[in-house]
Amino acid sequence: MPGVTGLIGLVTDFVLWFNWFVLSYFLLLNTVQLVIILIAATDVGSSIRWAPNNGFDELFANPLTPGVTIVVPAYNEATGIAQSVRAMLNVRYPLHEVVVVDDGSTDDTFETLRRTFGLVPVQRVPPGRIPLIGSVRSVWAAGTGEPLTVVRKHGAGRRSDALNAGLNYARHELVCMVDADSILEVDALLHVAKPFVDDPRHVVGSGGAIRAANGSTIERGRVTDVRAPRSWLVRIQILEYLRSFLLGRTGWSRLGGLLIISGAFGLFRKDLVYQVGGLDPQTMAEDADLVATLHRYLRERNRPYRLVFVAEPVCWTEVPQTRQVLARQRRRWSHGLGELLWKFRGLIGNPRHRTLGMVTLPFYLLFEALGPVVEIAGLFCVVAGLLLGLLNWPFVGLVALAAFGYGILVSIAAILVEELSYHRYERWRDLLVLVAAAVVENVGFRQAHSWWRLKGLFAAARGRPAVWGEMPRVGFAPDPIEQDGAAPVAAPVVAPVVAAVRGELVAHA
Amino acid sequence: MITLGTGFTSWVLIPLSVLICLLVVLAAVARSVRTVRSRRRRLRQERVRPYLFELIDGEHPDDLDPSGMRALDVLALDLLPQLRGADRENLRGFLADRGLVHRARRQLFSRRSAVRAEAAEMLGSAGDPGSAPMIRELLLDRDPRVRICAARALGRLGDAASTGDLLTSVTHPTRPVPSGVAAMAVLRSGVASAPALRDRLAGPDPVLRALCAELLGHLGDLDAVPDLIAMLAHEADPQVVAAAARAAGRIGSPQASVALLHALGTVPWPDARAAAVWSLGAIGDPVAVEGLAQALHDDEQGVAAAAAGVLADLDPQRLAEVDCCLNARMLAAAALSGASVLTPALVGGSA
Repeated sequence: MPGVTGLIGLVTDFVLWFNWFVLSYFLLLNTVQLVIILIAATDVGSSIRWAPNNGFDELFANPLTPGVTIVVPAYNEATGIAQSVRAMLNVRYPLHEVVVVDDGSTDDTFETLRRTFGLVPVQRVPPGRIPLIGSVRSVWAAGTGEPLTVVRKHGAGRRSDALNAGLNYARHELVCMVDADSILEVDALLHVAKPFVDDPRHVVGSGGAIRAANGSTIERGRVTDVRAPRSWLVRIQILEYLRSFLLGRTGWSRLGGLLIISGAFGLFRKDLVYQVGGLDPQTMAEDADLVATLHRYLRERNRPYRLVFVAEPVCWTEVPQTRQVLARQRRRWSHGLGELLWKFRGLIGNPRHRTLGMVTLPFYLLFEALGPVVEIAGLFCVVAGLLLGLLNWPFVGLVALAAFGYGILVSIAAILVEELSYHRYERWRDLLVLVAAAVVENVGFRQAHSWWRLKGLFAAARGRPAVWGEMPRVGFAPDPIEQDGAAPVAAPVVAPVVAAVRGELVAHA
Repeated sequence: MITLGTGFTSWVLIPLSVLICLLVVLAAVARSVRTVRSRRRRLRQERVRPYLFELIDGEHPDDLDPSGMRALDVLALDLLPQLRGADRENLRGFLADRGLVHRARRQLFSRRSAVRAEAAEMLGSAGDPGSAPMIRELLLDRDPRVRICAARALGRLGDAASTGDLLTSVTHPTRPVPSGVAAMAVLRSGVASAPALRDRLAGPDPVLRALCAELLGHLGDLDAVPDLIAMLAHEADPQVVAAAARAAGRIGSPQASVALLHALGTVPWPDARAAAVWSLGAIGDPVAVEGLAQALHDDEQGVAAAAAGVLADLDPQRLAEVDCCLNARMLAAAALSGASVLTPALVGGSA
């Protein structure tokens, strides 16, 4: 039976070839990650060296420091919204306001805000004209006199639509997009705004580092004691945030190819966001979409620009605590990435778009989007190889050890950089936990993660409509004011017009 | 069947494991060293802190060992920017006696940019007026971070003689100092820098003209009002007109009301008109009421909304007119942004 023998030979060759391909792929992926971490380490080292001369006090005292509008989209965020908004209002910055967009919440999100900040209805003409899907129902201002506006709108199931509504009501020249479940450190805004002051001609956007708050102690809107939580699922995510979101983005920023400024904490020039028509409501990856749109818009007009990532400012966020919620989040991210790469396919490999087109987007296509495909297919091939007797267990074990070992090395390198720079986790136990997480994530988590991402990618490939969905929160410790149940002030409803337009005056001042 | 020999283990797995262990050990060592160092530093600073108060009182300690003196230097440098008057002079005298000022002057010419920047910052904090000419040279440093530190240091020195250099550095074609940083430095020099700013209101560069106008407004320089009025009437650059309008409002002189009203009615740039509205509100001159009422019908809704606010403050009797205008504007804005239905809450006040 020469035909069957030939077929078996072909299958054998393919399985062997593919196994070597998968191994090479992971070696290359980890090498690229390691290089990015090393590049990030030099950048982090430089920023640590210059930290004593950062001049934040001057930036804070400077009347010409650009004002910032913090836009917070909120959908069913009653558990933590009061703490988050309180922290945002209390950040150290000379001129800022907070615009919360209640995107059709069905829980007590708005009531919590109304009670905590004594909200009163106001009439306000939105300065922006970005089209919305869900119409605005009402606009409220804090009766406490704090620079807080709450926009209630009909939910469209799109975070980007809520952000666009907030952008329309933004009155300052910089807009900062922050998730409702996030807590900003007191100097976070000064850190991300500094690049705009230091290089006003070129900087059009900056992003800040995001860290997982689960397990840490939060009091009055401040993270007071940073520690690793008990759940391994969350511990692994802490490591992921460190490796990919902190050092990865620092490295890409240094290379001039930053693609993602996280939607959880990003600062942009408002005029440019208006010029590109706000965020695209049709995409799930609205944060990366905005950055890529700005890249394309500015590059096509030959305008010099910089998009930067600042590693130091910290925005603390609550990461998913259960497998189901995490799976949903990662499917959504992968879905968004698929859409993004398709939308900006013209930029991939296009030398006109320099680092973004020639390095970043190809990297995201080959390793972020196609990574789960290769990983899952690789697993199938290994099983097939074992069943066909082409591979033996010692071989598979040794190769797996090498592949995982390299991944662990990359993660430990990220932990070392963190230890030499920001060292947020002060306890010895937490250091050991992070090291252990670098090992544990290879057994089960990576494979499940690949599966979730693969499902998201398929959903994007089939053009399935993106669904934002709800992410259940455990929430932070209750705000003492809210807990006491005392509304801070009586609502001064005498002249909502005057209250509203005074805000306009501040913006022009 | 593929097999891997001991070579794979020896050449791949063992080195990989060793490398991983090495990195973990490095992380642990880094943490230990940091913990021990910070504890030692804290203890040393606690030991010498009482001497710091003696220093502020003008008494120099003579019973401290070299490491204690170094700790005292650090504490003195940290505290210096927060002090004024005799206390500051005493600390500055101590630092000069210790040779730190002299050393910092030398370090201004170091090859390492971080050292140059730190030296400039230190001299600025120490308020050493003799170093101003040397720091001014750093405004053209090749490293932008050093230029920023130099500008800040000049501001801390309060050296009005540096105003010209600071302003020129903003528009340098290849090595500019950020306008916000230079502006803050000029502001720290106070009213002594106003003449230099007024001189540049008629300069060729619109960026500089706008910046000077803004700064004169922040300084509240009454002498600049005639120049600002002239700019409102004749300036062709929208940013400059807006800056002149804001400056006039900050100064608050009713002399500028007519010029602002004229600008509100004639200039084609919405930002400049909005700035004129804000300034009329800041001045609070009743003569502006009719002009503001006309601005309620401005083509730009932001200008009209700002006018409504100012008018409501200046003349409460016109609240009904303002309210009506705002409602119309909001309906227009909602229509533009795609909202098809406005609930009564928008115009009535209940959710």
